[in-house]
Amino acid sequence: MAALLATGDRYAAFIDLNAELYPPAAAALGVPLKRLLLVRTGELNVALRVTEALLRGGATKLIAVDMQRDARPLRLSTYHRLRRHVRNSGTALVFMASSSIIPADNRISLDTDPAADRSPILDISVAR
Amino acid sequence: MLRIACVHVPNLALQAVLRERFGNATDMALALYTGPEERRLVTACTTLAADCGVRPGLNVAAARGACPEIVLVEQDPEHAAEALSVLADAVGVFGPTVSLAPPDAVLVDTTGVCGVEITGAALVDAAAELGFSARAAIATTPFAAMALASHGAVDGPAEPPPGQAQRRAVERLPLAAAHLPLAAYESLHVVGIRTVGAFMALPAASLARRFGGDVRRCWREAHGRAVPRLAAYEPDRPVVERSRHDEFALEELDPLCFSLKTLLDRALKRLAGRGMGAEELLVTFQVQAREEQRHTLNHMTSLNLGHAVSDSPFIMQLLRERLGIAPPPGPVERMELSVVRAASMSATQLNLFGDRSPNETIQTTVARLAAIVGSDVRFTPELREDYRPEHAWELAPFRPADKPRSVQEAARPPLGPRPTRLLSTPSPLPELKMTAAPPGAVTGPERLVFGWWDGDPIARDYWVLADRWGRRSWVFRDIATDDWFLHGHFD
Repeated sequence: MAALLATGDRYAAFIDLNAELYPPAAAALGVPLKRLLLVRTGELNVALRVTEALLRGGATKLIAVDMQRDARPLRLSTYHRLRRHVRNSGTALVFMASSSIIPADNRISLDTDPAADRSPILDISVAR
Repeated sequence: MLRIACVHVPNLALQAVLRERFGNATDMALALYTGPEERRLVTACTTLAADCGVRPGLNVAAARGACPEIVLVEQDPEHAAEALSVLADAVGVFGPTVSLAPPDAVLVDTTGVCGVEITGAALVDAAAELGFSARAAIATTPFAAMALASHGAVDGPAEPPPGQAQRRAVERLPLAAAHLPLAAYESLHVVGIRTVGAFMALPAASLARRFGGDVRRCWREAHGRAVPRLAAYEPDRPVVERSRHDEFALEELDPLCFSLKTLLDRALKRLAGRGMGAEELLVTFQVQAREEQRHTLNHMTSLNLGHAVSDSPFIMQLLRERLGIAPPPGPVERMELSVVRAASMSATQLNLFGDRSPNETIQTTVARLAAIVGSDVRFTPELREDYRPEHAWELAPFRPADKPRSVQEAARPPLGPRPTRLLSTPSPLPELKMTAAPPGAVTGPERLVFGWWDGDPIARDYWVLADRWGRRSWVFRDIATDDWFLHGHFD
């Protein structure tokens, strides 16, 4: 995030469903807070609407949706709509979740759970 | 040569009531009245009421007798004054100096103004957009402009008539066009002075002796020998637009938005006349009371745009989005849209290709986010000079960043290790009982003692712990109680 925001005139957004991001730590890691939009909401529906509005706005380079504590799978229609917006806007959209929230359709997931007794796994699954 | 435009609204007080309460209905019998309860007299009425025999000066009871279905509304001078300021806002885009000419006209000094189409028709259209049926004229003096607007053609030409033509046009007008004091008008009318021309032909000295300085001043203005200085209108009233739907309360979102758009368009037109845009709006819906309730409910929807906006479709889109999330809890009888905060529109460079600047784009996006989340535009985390982890930052109103900054510029020197995730409420760790380093401690202690002066003190020893998988947590011991708490995680 810091690297993306360091250059250019676009912004990044962090949609915090858990209200846990600690901006002083982000600033210490080099994230310019003036170029960060922090949206705190506890509702997934609102978070998805915000995500869509940001993607359609086109002013953000990166959107991170943090749903670590309350990961629920996205509806297929929502997923495809977001994917279309991502493709059109050129914005990176990252969901941070403890379990898979994306329908298995050309999915790439990176499993980095250190509690698991194995090395991190890059999982690519193609449904069709 | 001066170029003065005048917009005159016949029966302004009546039109203001029609505009606000009856949606500019043209097919209703309505009359305004004034006076004490025992002697209420009609002051103005609609054409339909007049057709039934109602006329100004008639007793209210007689008016009811002549037209049983007539709606009678008490005249409110404050309401009429507000309507005049609305009219002044409407024509503010035509010139730098707008002047009120109570009770029912405004003057605009358009001398030297270019780049804006200034015609009688354009002025009439501007008033019509705010719900007033007006007449307009352009002349070289305020007197001629007011006389021609009130009694001449409905909308005058784009340019003032040449000298003699303007004088002849004014001379032909009825005496009422001179806007004389009532006593002087009646006295002159009795002795057969029926036109402005006849009034102008009277000797000034004898007019002054008989009727006083006001009539002499009027005579001099009619001859163009005195040109009054226009007192600039200073907008001091908040922009508020209202509508009532007593007969057909609005239940569905579409008709509600339709009515709301009318109010929004009017509010933005008024702001445009002041050279401003809306920053924050408040819409109040008066919801029809249910049978078991005694009072009507007020449902409020606020919209914080974060910067001056004059784009009606965009604001309407946000309002629609907001109302979709939190609709009024019942049929809406009345609506009031008020501009809570307005700001001058910043001048922008014209863009050949129509692309919007990144700052404009992000501001628009932020306003949309505020509409969705239902909050104000506090989306920017800002650090505070406070050692208490809970108070070390806050969300501030969004302002576009001035220029790209480097990472080094943006970062602050860290005090110590800080977790990327901070729990809003520290979670107790009853299994930890020690006062020294806990098991798995990686760094610490970092003692934070702060805030004893503001009633929210902390006295804590912070440690970073790591579990056997390498996951790190931020824990602290409360120095006063020796209790341990989990306060955050490092990603």
